[in-house]
Amino acid sequence: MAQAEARAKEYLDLLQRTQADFRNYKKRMEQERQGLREQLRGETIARLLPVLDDLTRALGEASQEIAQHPWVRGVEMVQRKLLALLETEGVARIEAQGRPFDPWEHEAVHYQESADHSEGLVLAVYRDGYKLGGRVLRPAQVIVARHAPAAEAPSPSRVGDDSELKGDAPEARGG
Amino acid sequence: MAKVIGIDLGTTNSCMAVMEGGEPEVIENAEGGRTTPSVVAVNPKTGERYVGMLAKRQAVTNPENTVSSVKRLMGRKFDDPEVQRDLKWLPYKVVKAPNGDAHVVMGGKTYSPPEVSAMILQKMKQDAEAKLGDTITQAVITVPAYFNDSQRQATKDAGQIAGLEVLRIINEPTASSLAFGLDKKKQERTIAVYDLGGGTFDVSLLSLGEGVFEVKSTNGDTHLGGDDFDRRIVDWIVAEFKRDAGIDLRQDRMALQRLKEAGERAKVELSTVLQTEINLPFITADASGPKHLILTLTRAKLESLVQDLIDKSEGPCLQALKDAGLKPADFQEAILVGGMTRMPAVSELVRRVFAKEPNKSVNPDEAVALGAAIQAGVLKGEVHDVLLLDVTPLTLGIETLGGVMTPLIQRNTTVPSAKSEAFSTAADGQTGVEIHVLQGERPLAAENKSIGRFILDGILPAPRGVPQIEVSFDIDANGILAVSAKDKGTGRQQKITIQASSGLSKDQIEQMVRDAEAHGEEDRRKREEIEVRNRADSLVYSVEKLLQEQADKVPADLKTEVDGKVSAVKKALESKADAAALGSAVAELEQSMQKIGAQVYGQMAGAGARTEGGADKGGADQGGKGPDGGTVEGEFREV
Repeated sequence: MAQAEARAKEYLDLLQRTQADFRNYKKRMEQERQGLREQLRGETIARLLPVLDDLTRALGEASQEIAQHPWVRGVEMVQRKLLALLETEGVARIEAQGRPFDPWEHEAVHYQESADHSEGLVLAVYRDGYKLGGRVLRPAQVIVARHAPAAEAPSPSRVGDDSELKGDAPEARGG
Repeated sequence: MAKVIGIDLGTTNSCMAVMEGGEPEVIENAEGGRTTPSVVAVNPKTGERYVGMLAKRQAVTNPENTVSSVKRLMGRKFDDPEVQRDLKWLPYKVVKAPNGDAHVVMGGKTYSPPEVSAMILQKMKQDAEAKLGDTITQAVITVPAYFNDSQRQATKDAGQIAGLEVLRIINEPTASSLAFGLDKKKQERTIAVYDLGGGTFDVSLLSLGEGVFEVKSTNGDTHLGGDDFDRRIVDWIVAEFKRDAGIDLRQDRMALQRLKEAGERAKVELSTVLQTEINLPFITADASGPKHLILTLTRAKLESLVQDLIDKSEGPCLQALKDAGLKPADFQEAILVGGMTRMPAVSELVRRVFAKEPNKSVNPDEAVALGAAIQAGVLKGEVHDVLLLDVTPLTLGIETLGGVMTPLIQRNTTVPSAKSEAFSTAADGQTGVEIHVLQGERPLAAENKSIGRFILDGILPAPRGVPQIEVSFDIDANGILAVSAKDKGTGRQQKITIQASSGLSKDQIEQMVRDAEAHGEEDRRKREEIEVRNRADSLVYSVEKLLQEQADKVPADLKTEVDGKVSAVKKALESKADAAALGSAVAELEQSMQKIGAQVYGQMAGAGARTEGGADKGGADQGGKGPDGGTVEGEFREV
């Protein structure tokens, strides 16, 4: 009898946990579902961005002689239209040029040694990044300024070397 | 009660999962990724720490303080030959700690590998807590089967530092086997686990007996993975371009970046298509102007580029077999783990070496984490035998008007499950309905398996469509189906019990599903035709009834018009005209019927006469009926 009771108690507990699990799962699924539409939209747009990249690249390569040609002008309009459409969808370009490098929004693809710029400054944008409603669709690929590294210290505790390199005060990290 | 998460702490990528409702689910990280790069970095100036994708993004500008693949150093001494070898190409500094261990330097400070791994684990812990809305204090973490004691202890330490009580350290191949459900068959099994990930290759041979996994042998290559495949593709693109345009893209860092990305994309695509285009306009420029790169990469070409890499994995497999004293015939399962195994050529090698079709039923990037979660569930007592739920393999339903099958319980529904629906009679005065229980995926009753039949009689004579017969399907956890039909009016009920899955093997079931798909288009058309006929039939019945009941309100000319339309529909039904012809005759009739309605209501508004009874209501019902409506001669229809 006691065994049966114990078993019944076990089953009840199991049932309660399963129900609770189920409810929590439902809640989480509901949350995820609401985010899903945005996410799918973002993914689709992100997949199409390479086309915008190539278009921008193409226009960037227009030589002086042809830059004013009506055909080139027309292609510029195509690019503008695409950008406008993206803007309507809520897509915003990530500002990177001249800003401090921020891995949330930027991906460093190269560095350039420059004593004139503070370390960690974005010198150039290689490929634009975009945000959709606050979420990063694709980080901007950037080239970051770097100062020449100090001579290799034999032991790792020589932290002091860094401070000798700094020309400016470190860039305040925004947000 | 807090959940225990399962964590796959990988060399290149980590993944975490948790048990929910008896099944393991991957937990996304804060950035929405299902896997997290195993990379940690420290900004030397601000001391800010980055983990995962963020760390990866700043790696190029901060290589000395970005630590990746720290798993290679876990539990190892600085003088370890493996460590010395890896030292050469690791961009960050590795030093010898006072106790001889290999430590790393980040941001000017020294860290032990467990401390670095702990940073990754900590991020995953926090992200999991955010997603699940609950504190996480316990975890199960996986390690390669060949990890020795100090390596396992280092992993446990990492968990502790991250604030996790590590309930158990389990082997990656064992975790994968759990994820593939291989422990459920309760039989002795010998399993081959082929794990080809981003940077490492591991083959493990396991035996499973009485619920216990035993590692028979392991082998692999610590420097063979998807990254090597990617490099081959880039090499090829560079070579092709050099040949065609005479320019060496290796000199152009930015172009190389684009090439890398395009190559990875192509590699992934070629796992599902036979060829893909690598299209990179304005890749570079020379004196003569901009240069474009456009290449077609076929799957065959890709395979030839990487064949030697794939073949490199064969040796370790054969050696593992030798060490375990096993032959391919001894294995019941060969499972694929790691993203690179998605490549058909890799799967083919596994098939060849182990002489059986590899099991790909679980996402190869997530299998280890899912298995760790299952183990976590077992340790927490969440997984009981009684909870191993089954699914009904084929759709269950009944036959309705026109010989169609109306489903009640869809295939792959987890059991126990119950479903009820209300049906009705097809003919006026019908006093009995036959419940013909079917199992299968085809829309037509005759093409499915008949598994039971019974009659419910004693239905009071009434116009068709009026009686309410509730049909209920109830499957218990053992797959036993109870079907009942109850006349809600009289309260009379009949039921039968059927062993729903009897007699069909897994192959037969799969064949039935495949048949349904193959005939999908044809079956759909047939079903539509039947439904159009049913609708036409119902419509004729309603209209005739309506005319009868409202005879005094319908002017003679309208009656003649309607009669004509009704005859047209009847003729179309009799002559078995095609759906289109029948459809238009029906549409005509519906229009005319609306005129009747207009007449009746018009007069009513004027004379304030009593609203009709069942006739118009029946008519409205007919008009509003969805495609499932219909009646069967001698059987019944849905209400």
